[in-house]
Amino acid sequence: MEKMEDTEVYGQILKKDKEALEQLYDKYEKLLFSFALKMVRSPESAEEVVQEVMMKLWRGSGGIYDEEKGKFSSWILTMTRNTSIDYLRKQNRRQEEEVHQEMELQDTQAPVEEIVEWKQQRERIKEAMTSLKQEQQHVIEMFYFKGYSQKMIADKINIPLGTVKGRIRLALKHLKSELAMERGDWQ
Amino acid sequence: MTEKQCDKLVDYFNGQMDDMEKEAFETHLAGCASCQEELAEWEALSSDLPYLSTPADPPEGMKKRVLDNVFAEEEEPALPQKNYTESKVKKNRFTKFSSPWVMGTAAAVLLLSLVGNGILWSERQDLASETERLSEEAERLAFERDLAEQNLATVLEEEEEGGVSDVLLASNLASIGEAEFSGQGSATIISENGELELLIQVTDMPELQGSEAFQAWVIEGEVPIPAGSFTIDENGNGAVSYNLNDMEDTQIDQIAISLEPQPNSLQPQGEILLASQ
Repeated sequence: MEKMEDTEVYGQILKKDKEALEQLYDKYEKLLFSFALKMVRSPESAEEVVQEVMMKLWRGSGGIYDEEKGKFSSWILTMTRNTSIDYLRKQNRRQEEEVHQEMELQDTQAPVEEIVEWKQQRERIKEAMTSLKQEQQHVIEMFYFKGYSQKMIADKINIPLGTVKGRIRLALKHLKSELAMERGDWQ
Repeated sequence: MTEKQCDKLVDYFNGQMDDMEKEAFETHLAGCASCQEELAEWEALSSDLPYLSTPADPPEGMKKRVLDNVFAEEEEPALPQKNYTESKVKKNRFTKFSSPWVMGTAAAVLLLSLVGNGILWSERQDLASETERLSEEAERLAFERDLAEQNLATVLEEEEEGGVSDVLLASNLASIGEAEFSGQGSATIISENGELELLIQVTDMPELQGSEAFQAWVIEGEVPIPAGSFTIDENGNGAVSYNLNDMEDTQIDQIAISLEPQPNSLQPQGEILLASQ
């Protein structure tokens, strides 16, 4: 249902329908902004990332979506992540920054969430995340949200380069099985 | 070295590779089932992770700023900018496709604006040197398509004589999708003596295997129309020219390059590697 709608709106965007882009923008603004903010960590930068994503959508330069690529929302989120990583790399930002400070998965000041689906998703994943060992949470954070290179991850947690991938795999597998347990019927 | 390729999946996933590393990894990936599986797994899991972000309110006025900027870009006139330096030329010279575009009318408008504009000459000079370079490459390359060479040679002559042909449209071709690679290129539509020609030039393309060939597509809406197959030399360079006279009424939304299992596919069977922006 939701997929149909997104796909239709996206089809209109490909035909250069400005209202369609606006509609899509409205739907995803907050999610993309929040995700970009988590990755690039300043509202100004996050806005730039969202703008870049919208430009890619409008021009078709971020690739063309089709249903074989999975859900539209996943596709646009992946594009946001890649754009954020590019942004971070271009800025060559102070990477030493608060890896630890940013680790507060159990943040207390989440604003009231109006998007119910997102909230549920978030609770579910947060719960799964918090059931992981601290180190595994850390690995996922550095790997997924910071887009660190293998070497940077190795340096940060002081493990041999060759073991990074294994750690990521393990962390992701645990997360996956936690999520599966929560969902019960999943897979 | 080879067994270590599997370890590089992290840097591949996170876009932390230079072009050469990426190319090497993609070659490895194509033949490594365990990396493919792992990559798919990472991708599947990732789809949940963005929802972990703390909901944040976008800054005041962001929507207007973003959409204005996106649409403003769209409305910029498709004219070259002044004072190109040599290095800038390659990156910036080609203007982007603006909106979906019907060739007849748009061509007329573009021609008018070009004629009225003194920059045209330098634009042509740039094109001439680019074309010259292209043709030099062409000579080195073993093109399968004699036709392509012939047309290029014609274009080159025209350009050197002072530019009888007119550029109707030019665009960069860039890699699309998440799995980026270093390949890039340009697409130019020129008109000469009533003939419409599409010229495509690419560099840094991945190596072809067996009967594989690259193929250009003119995309109207969602419909790809074949626009010539070509191969590359050992340095990944290639080019093709294609006559568009039959497509006079075609609305060209995009130009794309795919990797096909064999030359001259009627429908794309392989992956789209490059597309106009």
